[in-house]
Amino acid sequence: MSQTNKWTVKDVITTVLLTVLLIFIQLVVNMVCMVNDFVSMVLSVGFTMLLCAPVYFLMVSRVRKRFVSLIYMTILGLVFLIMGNWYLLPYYMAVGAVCEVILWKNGWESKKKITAAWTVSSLLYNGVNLLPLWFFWDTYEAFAISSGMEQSYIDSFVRYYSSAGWLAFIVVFTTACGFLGSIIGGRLMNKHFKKAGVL
Amino acid sequence: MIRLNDVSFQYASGLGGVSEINLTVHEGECLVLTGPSGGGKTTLTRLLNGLAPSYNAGKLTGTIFLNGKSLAQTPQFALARQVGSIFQDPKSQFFSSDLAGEVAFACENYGLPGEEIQKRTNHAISAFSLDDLRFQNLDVLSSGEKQKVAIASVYALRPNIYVCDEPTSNLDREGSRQLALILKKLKAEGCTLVIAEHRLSWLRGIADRFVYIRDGKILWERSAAEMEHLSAGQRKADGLREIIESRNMNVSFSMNHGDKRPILCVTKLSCKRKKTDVFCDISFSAYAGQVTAITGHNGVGKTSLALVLSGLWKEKSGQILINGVKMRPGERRKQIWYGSNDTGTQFFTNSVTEELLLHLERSEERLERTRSLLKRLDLYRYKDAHPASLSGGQKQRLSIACGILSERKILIFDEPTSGLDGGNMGIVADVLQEEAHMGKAILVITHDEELIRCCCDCLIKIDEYGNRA
Amino acid sequence: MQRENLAVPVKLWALGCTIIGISLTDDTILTCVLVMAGFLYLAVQRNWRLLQSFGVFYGILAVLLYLIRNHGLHMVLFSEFYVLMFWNLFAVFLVGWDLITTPPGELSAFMSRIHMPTSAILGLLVMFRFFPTMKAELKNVWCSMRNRGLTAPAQFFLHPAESCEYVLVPLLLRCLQIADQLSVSAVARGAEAPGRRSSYYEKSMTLKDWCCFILWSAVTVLFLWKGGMRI
Repeated sequence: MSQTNKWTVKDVITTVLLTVLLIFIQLVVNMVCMVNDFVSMVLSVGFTMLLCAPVYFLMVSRVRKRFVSLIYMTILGLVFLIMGNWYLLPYYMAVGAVCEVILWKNGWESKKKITAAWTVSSLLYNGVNLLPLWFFWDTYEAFAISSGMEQSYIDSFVRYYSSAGWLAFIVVFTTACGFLGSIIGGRLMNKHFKKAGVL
Repeated sequence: MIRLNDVSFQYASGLGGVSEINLTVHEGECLVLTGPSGGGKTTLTRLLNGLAPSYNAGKLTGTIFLNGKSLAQTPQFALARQVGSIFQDPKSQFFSSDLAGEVAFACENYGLPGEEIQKRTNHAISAFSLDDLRFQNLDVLSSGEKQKVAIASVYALRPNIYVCDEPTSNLDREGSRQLALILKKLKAEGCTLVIAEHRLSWLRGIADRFVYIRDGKILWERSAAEMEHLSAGQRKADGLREIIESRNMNVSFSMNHGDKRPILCVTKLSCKRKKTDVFCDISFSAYAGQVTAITGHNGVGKTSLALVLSGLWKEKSGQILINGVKMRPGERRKQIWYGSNDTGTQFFTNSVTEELLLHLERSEERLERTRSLLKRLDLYRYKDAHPASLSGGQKQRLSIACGILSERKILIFDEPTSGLDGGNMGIVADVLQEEAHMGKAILVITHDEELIRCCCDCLIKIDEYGNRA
Repeated sequence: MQRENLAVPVKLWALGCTIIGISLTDDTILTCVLVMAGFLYLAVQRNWRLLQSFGVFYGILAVLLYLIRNHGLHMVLFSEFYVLMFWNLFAVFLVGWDLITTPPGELSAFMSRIHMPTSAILGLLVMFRFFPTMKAELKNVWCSMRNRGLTAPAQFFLHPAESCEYVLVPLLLRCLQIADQLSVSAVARGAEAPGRRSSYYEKSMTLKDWCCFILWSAVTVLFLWKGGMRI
């Protein structure tokens, strides 16, 4: 089949539909996880990456064009922008660019490359928790002290991000989830989508 | 005028296509393309509206002339201004949730000036008498109304040729009737119509000429008058649906069920969803060994009734007895099968065989039964294929097979024949009857009077006030 | 009770103002000034439903914040950090939500006015069609799973991965099918026609739009000036 890099209407619509699905899954996972600190800070990104991997695989291998990941990450960033975390837009665009670099040379043909792209973005995805914390921490600390909270109580909120052990665990956990998700995604591609003739 | 000169088309995937087509469509004529599913009707419509080869890639030979000009040099978007297209499923074609936005969509794409768009949009809306729907969300409209909106959007662009690909396959009787009125109006305005369709009776009085396509070739052409005199035998041999709608339902339904006790007995059943009554006080009985048809207008709650019966929704009041025992929804789910009309979301596994045997014990006897059922429904060739790769009609038959193999005693099917051609409808009717004779109670929700005549023993009509047998 | 939407540029400007406001401010508690301006802005557009639901939500946040500050409330579930963050971001939520609930027709009209390519506009329109379409599909998948007995709790706990597959695969396949049908429908209606796309909903800035525009600018400048800036 001839491969042109021009985006058709079909590519645009497929990318947008699946992107919205991806974002929807993420927001739901985030909302549910916010209830508990441990789950939201340590586990939520991993869960998201695990669930989203098959959708991402499908999107990349269906559209088979450059810039799919960049468009996805940009739309994701825009959603965060509308929710007030504007700094996540440039951050996610950068993550998207990294994925593009990995997939640049017909990466959609190779499962290994898609797996690599998704695993790397899983690692970088932790920014969704870390950046707002980093941006907003001083404000919160000032507020918390003035409300009479004890320093140890305030600091306990960031215990997962301040201890090296936890930090290492988070990084390993999310990356592993992303990797596992990619393996599952790759399996599902063969089992269903290739067989159904949609790839 | 459209002229096809020795046209052949082969899809890039290698499957399907048409060959050696020679056809002329005159100005202001209504041409109907008919024939079995998968025979090439859709491909031919795609050639006319330019979607093949520009959207569905493939190899085209021969020439298509539109008003004497060859189409080879015309880009698809320029062709789309002259040839409007109408598709099967109106619900997944919309780009807007409001009427005016949707009707204006095509004009917007061509960058017509703002005032012109408003003028055309308002004209299209009033021409199709859609004014009442202006402030409604398009998602809540009936399928017939949605199809009307889809046509209005094409109409606003004012093409003089309309190409319709099975426009009624998602419409009920009322929807088809409305569609017929609209096509009549378009024809009266001098537009040329090309309609690919296997339900033929609604086209009476519109169609001028019928072309029969099978295996990618045109086999015969008949005028409307000739078609009306086609013998039933010839019609059956070609696998065609009825051409004239029979006026009277000349079947005598025996109301005599013998002294048997009904397997399903429903008394004073009512259902309420989101504070509105969907239906109320429905009572009827169904007997093992019979095929019962459930009919009624659009929106009287036939599908809701099926959902309640099969325990997927909860009833508000009334009771449902199965073999004389009152059952809660959870228990009913194990006894009653509901085969939905929407086949896009029904299959979960990656092959037809797996799908049929999902969560069932694989005894030799059952495997044998599965094999014979697949052969019967002409699906055996696809036993290892992915369900999503099947065509609409094949999916419908697979869904029926799943119901039969579920070993439940009561089976409810919702419009099981909406996308089937004449031949397959006959097969389905026979299969349903056989299953009934093996002691199952089968309920069919349908508008398809041909199907009712073929296989139903008993008819229940639902109206706004309840039901009568 | 029809909503009277302001022009899209004004909405974007309002979003920009609130983002600048909350990012630069020194006094988090004072962001309620911006929120009040936001509520006023919703009232001007007669967007009562949004006003009501966000009003209730903001009220709850205010009570929680008051309890944390003055009565040392420690919450077990939802952290105090998030309460303060939501309080801080609320003005943006308000304006952002109002922006994305604008009728898509008006957004696409704005996009075609600033000469965005047709495919970008189609993408935008599709985004808004996603939720009504997917809601119906998800319901259908769930319904057929129940019909086939795939939703029993035992099934879920014994085979969680399988259950996920049963939901995800039909949904994704249907998603692709819808994408195909939508693009055929778009292409058949001239989506690939070159040149600028035009729009049914052409709107120009009215006096009211300009007033809101100026109002937002003034509120933001005053807020930053009086409330102090971080830098």
